[in-house]
Formats: sequence, C-alpha cells, structure tokens
Amino acid sequence: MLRYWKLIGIFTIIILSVGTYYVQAGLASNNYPDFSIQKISGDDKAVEDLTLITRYVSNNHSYGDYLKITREGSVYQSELSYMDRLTGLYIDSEIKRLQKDYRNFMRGKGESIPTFFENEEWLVHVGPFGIDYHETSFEVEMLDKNTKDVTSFQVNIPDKNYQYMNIQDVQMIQDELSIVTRNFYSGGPSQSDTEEFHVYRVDIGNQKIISDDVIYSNEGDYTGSEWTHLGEVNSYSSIGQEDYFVFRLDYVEQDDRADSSMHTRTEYIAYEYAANELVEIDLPDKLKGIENIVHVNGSTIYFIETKEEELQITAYHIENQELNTIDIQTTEEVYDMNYFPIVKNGNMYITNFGDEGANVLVIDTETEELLYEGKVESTDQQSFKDGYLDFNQIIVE
Amino acid sequence: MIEVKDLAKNFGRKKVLKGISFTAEKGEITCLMGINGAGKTTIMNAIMNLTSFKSGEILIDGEKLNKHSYEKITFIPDAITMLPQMTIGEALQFMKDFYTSWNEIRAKELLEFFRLKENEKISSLSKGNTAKVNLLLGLALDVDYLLMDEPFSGIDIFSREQIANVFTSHLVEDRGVIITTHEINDIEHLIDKAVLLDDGMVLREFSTEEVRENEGKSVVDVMREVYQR
Amino acid sequence: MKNYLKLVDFELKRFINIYFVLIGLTIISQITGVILKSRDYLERANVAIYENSLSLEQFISQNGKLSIHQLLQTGWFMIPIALSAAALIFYCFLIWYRDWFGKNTFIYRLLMLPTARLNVFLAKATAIFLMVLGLVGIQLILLPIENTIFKSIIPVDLRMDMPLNEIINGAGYGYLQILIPNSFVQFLINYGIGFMMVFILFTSILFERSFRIKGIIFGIVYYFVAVTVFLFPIMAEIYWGFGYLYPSEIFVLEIILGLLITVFSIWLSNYLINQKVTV
Repeated sequence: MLRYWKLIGIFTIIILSVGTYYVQAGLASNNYPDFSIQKISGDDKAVEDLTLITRYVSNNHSYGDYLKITREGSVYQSELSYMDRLTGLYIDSEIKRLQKDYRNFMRGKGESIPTFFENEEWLVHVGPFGIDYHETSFEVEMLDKNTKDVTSFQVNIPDKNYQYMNIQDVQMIQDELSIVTRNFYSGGPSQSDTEEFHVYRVDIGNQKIISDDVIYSNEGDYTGSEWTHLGEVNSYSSIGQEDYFVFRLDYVEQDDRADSSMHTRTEYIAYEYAANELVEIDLPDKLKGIENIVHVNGSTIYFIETKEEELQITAYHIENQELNTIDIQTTEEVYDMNYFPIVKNGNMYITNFGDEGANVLVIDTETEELLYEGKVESTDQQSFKDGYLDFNQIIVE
Repeated sequence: MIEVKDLAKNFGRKKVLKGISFTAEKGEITCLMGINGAGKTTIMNAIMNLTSFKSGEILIDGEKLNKHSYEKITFIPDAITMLPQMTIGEALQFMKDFYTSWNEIRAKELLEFFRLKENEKISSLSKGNTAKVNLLLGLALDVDYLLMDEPFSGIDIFSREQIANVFTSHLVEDRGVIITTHEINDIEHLIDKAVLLDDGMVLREFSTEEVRENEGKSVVDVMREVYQR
Repeated sequence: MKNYLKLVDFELKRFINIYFVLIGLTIISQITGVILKSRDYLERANVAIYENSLSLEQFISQNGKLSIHQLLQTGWFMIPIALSAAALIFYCFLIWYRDWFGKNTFIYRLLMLPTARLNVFLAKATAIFLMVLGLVGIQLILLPIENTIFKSIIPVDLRMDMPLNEIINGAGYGYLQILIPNSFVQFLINYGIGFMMVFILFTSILFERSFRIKGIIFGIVYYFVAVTVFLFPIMAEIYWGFGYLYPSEIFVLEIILGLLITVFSIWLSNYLINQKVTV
C-alpha cells in the first residue's frame, strides 16, 4: 500500500476538497437574502395565489439572481434543481403553462406573448415575431384543443416596403384571424422614418389574406419640430380574447436651444377588433402625461399614478367614454412611479417598487376597495441597502 | 510450436512481407536470417501482436496470441524496454509486479552472471550492459518461447561472448527460441534451424543438423548458395 | 483491476516530478500574489491617509475596499493555472508519444504486459484525470488559505469579506467558475465533457499510432466528427434559432450523446490498441 502513496494521496485530496466544497455548498443556501410578502392590512387570502418574479441585484458585487417571492418566502433560481434551472424563472408564466400543456405544438415557437392567441377551442401562433424585409409571409399554426389537430399554412404579406415588422397581437374572430403588426419604413435620405400599425385579416377557411389595413401611420405627424412615436399598450398583457388593441402616440418636440428633444404629451387610440375600426379616446389633460402607468383589461384602461402621496387609479371605459377615479388609502407610503399592475379575476394586483422596498396591493375593481395591503420584506434588514429588487412579472395562479 | 502461415504485410503500397511461412519448435533455436530490411523485425513484431498484418495466421501452440500469451512467450527487442530513469532494481520490480511467470531466483542469478548492480540507473549503463539488462528481463521470465531481435548488434566482444554463453546454458534449455541476426558467425554452431529471408519471402527453411550431415555444408555455405544465386 | 491500478500508479509516477513543480509554482505564485498585492493596497492606503491626510472614508470612496476578487484577476493567480492547464493538455500527447519516441521504446513493454491492453489506455486516461482533479483540489484548499492571508494583511475596514463559494463565483473573467462550478451537477458536466475530450483525443492519437501518415488524417477527422456530433444539438439550436427542442431535452440529449461518444471512443481505442497499433 505504501508504494501507492502518490495515487492514494492525490485521490484523497480530490475527494476531501471537492467533496467538502460541494457538501458545504449543498447545505448552505446562497448568501442572498430571503424575501416574503407580509400583510399590513386586509385579507391574506387575496395574495394566496400571488407570485412575484424579480431579480435581486446586489450593489457591491454586481451580481444578481432571479427569485420568486410569495407569501411564504422566496426561492432563488440558483436554489432550484439543475433541471428546473434549465428553464429560466424569468420566462413568462403563460408561456410556461402552454409549453407544459401543449409541449409539441409549442416547439420552436419562441416565447413572445403577442404571437399567441388562445381561447376555449384554439391555440393559435402567428410568427415569426420579428419579420424583416426579405421574409414575405406569416406562418400560421392553429391547434384544435379538442381534437389535437394542427392546421398550418402560410399567408403572403401584401405590403412589400417595410424594413421590418413586429407582431403585436393575434386575435381570432369567428373564422378570421386579425394580426396586428407594427411596421417600420425607412424614409430615405431626406425623409423621416415612418412607423405604422397594420391589421392583417386572414380568412381561416381559404387561408388567404382578406385585407391589410393601416390603422395608424405617423407619417403625417411630422411637422418639422414635432413628431410622434408609436407604442403598444396591451400587446403583452394577455394571450386571450381581447376586444381592443390599444396603442399610444408619444408626441416629441424638438428643443432647439438644448439641441435635444422631449416628450410633450401622449394620446391613446383603441382599435376595436369586432368592428375593424378605430375608437377615439378622449382623455382629460392630466392623463396625457407620458409617465403614466397604463394597463388595459377588457374595455377598460387603467391609469395608475401617485396623487398627493396616495395611489390614484383612473378607469376609462372605452365603450361609453366614462371616467371614474378611485383613490386608494394605503397605510404605507407608496413609491412614485414603478407600478406594475395586472387584472385577474376582477382584482387588480399592483406591485410598487422603490429603493427601500416594495408594496403589494390588491384592489377589487368592482367595489373599488383595497382588499389587501402588504409589503415585500426581507429577512435581512440590510437587503434593500446592499441591493435592489428588479421587477419581472406578477403571476396569479 | 510457433506457426507462421502465409504472413503478408504492406507498408503503404510496399509489400514488406509476401506470404511468409515457417515453424519454430520448442526446445530448438530458430534463426531468421537476412540482410537488413528483409522483414525480420516485422515478423517478430507480428508474432507478438505489436503490429498488424494484412493476411495470414500466427499460432502459438495452436492458439492465437492473447493477453495471457505474454506469460508464455516474450520478446527481447534490440533496444531496452524499460524507462531510462529507472534503476535496474526498479525494472525488475516492474516485471515482478505484472508477470506471474517472473522468476526472481533466476533474475538474481542472471544479475550475478552479468555482473550487474540493482541500484544502477539504466540511462547510465554502457551499451553492452544495457543489452544484458534487456536480455535479463526476457530470460528471467518462465516462458516457453523467447524471441530475440539482433541480440549481438553493436556490442563489444566480451559482452557478446557472455551473451552467447547464455544460449548454451540451462537458461535456454527446453525453450523455443527465435533469433534474428544478420551476422551468423557468433551463433552458427548454436542454431538448430535457419530461415533465410529476402525481400519479404522465405528463400529456404532448413535444419542445420540435416544440412550438415546429409550435404556436409555449414549454414554459411547454404547462405552463400541461396543469396548469391 | 489490480493491474489497472498498478498502471495508474506507474503513469502518475512518470509525471509526478513535473506535476509537483506545477503545484509548487501555483502555491508560491498565488500566495506571493496575495501578499504583494495586499501590501501594495495597504501602502497606498497608508500614503493616502497619513501623508495626504485623507480620511478612511475618503480613501474607500476613491479606491474602493479591497476584495480577494481583485487579487484573483492578477497574473499571479491566472498564469500558474493557465500553465498547469497547458502542461496537462500537452501531457495528453506526451503520455503516449514518450513511449514510442525516446531512446528506450517502453511501448514494447506496455503492449506485452499480460493484461488487457485497454488497461494501459484507461490507466493513461485516469492518470490525466487524477492530475487535473488533483490541481482543482489543491486550488480549493489553497483559496481559503489565501483568504486567511489576505485577511491578516488588510484590516477589516478596508476589505470586503466573502465566503468561499462567492470568491469562486465572482472571480474575474469567470475562469474559476469553469474549473469549480457552483453546482455539483455542473461540475460533473464540465469534467465529463473534459474527460470525453481526452478520450476522443486518445483515440485520435491511436489512429495516428496505428496508421501513421494516413492515421493523422483519420485522427483529425475522427476528432472533429466526434466533437461536431456532440455539439450538433446545441449548434443546431443556435444556427436555426427557434428552440425546437426544450432546454431539458437538449440537456438529456447531450448527456446521452456524451456517454455514447465516450463509450464509442473507448471501444474504438480498444480495437485499435489490440488490433492495429504498431510499435
């Protein structure tokens, strides 16, 4: 045995050092703080099914890791098993659900919410999400959820001049598909570039394009000193049936003195899928600020802002152009801006992140009552000094 | 018995062995003779499965060579098969570690016979002593067959004598030996069988005793006849 | 089995002197680096505070606290690791060729051992693996020692302390993360791939040793084919974009491919070393 001391020695060093390191690493959780949602007032039941996906980034090591936070506590991505870690925590929960339920259909279809549509009977994908000028068609794939049959076909894009386009939403209305895109046209040397929202309607029966309507072009908005940027509002909020596609026009003005440009106001326009026409949205000036947090649910547009250190939600109903304002009295002070709202099952869930922490609010949109108020708390007092939480998504199961 | 049947081998397009056949009996010394490049070493390597061949068959006591055969048959190439940084003692220990047929007593006996010391480093040995250690490593194995490649090449006269003495001693008795050489003089009187090779072919295979008794010729006579024709 | 272990031990001994030199070099260079760089920083702090009368806070806000990560990014640390890696990669070739070339053709002895020749092959591979992992082990032992030295030189106000796994994970350029990944599964994957590559290389070398000039071509072709087959699912994903396979499927596929290639490489090597290899 003594003759083999070199072999035994090297072997022992490997087993002891590597073994000790990984046993220790396995026993000790990582050094990042744990978080949980703690109640301040209201009913805990309201946040039973709530999960926040965030990223904790520590100031000093410039290192961050994704984590999910619930009422019970938090789990970092690095604490998941190797297999679970392969699918990032940050991937949208709707996409994850679809990949789980329709594994084969979802293959190779990417993770872009706007390219999917789902209702009781159908799961539709139109892709690719980004189309550049040498691609000339949409790839349509439709899964019949009951029979599991997949119909796939291509439709040619009639418009040929775009530089590139992105799919903003897909809807199915009876036997038609409506594909909303934002198209970019480069304007040549003396002209400005143009952006347009298009709706391509596709007849599912004969797999042909019925129409290509420009629902908005910002070509005419250019006055020499002022122009607009187009922005989508509700592309990413849902893959289900929607009545309206809401978009925004951000007006930008040239400031000659400072040789820069600035946003002046924002206007909103809704496109109604069923009627295939635009609906004007008439807002009071105070809601035309560009910094507003806007969320669309059904036919209601919610504007969320801080008013005299209190949270104020303004709901605009597209159908009847009515406005109503809900003032929410919170115990804790809210952080200005950084609101992330979603509406699910008649409740609005808002997370409100700031430098020193994060608030979680649940509001009943019917009764306009605050059902729950809580905050994200850490096991370690220093957590919000050493780093910050970078919000990613809210999941309500 | 070692049987070599129809052995053929190419190096690239060149045919180095063109169907070699001969046998070597246990208890006899068989000598492969031929000028350099006749394929002697290649045949040895092929017998020991140290090189591949195109066709033919080699049987040792009727069996193909396998890993156990190396306890039964060994090969002493013309260069020593141990690392230069090892001492003679370490080389012997290495052999003892791996071969069950290693004969410790005989190894010690040979050390004494060759006047070698265990603590000497192989790299510091003279050519003659290196050859002796090499020989020792093969001879101290209790094997049935012993293959030697040019055991006398480049060695001083006294070492040659010592090595030649080995062949007449009990160390070689009962074993089958295949030896290659291109200088027949040193061992002419020792060999039982000669296989004359040229250009990858066997020109003649004969028993030295028969040739001597029946034809009254020495090995050198036959060689002259065959090669100068 | 016993012969295999004897051969592993033997192969280790043949390189052990250079191996110990590599270890020694690593230890000396890294510890010297810690001491010099720490003193350097301390000297700057002393000059700033006592001569330029900066307050401690001002000095820290200008220079930052010293963390061991800054030391890990210096040549004192990386050069010995790079040197060791290069030496071991080089030795992957040498471990075979030294048996053929060199004054004494040891390959005769190795091939004539009364044991399966695959043992010779596996022993050489094992020796390489042990030496690689041995260096990793030494580095794992060395890091806490270096951290202790670092702490003993730099006062607590001027330094940033962290546990071992954070030292490794946060190290500059991520080189320590490749050598010592965060999770044990990743460790197995990294070294599994590494050892597979060693087996593929060994097979290529045996191709060359069996067929010489032609064998060089076979060897190179084999190497690239094997690596390409292994990387194919990942390259296909990157090339064709859209994630036809899910990450977990690619992971499982890669494990299967890796194992298949390794087993095939060993099987092919066994064939070559038994049937084709030439002294």
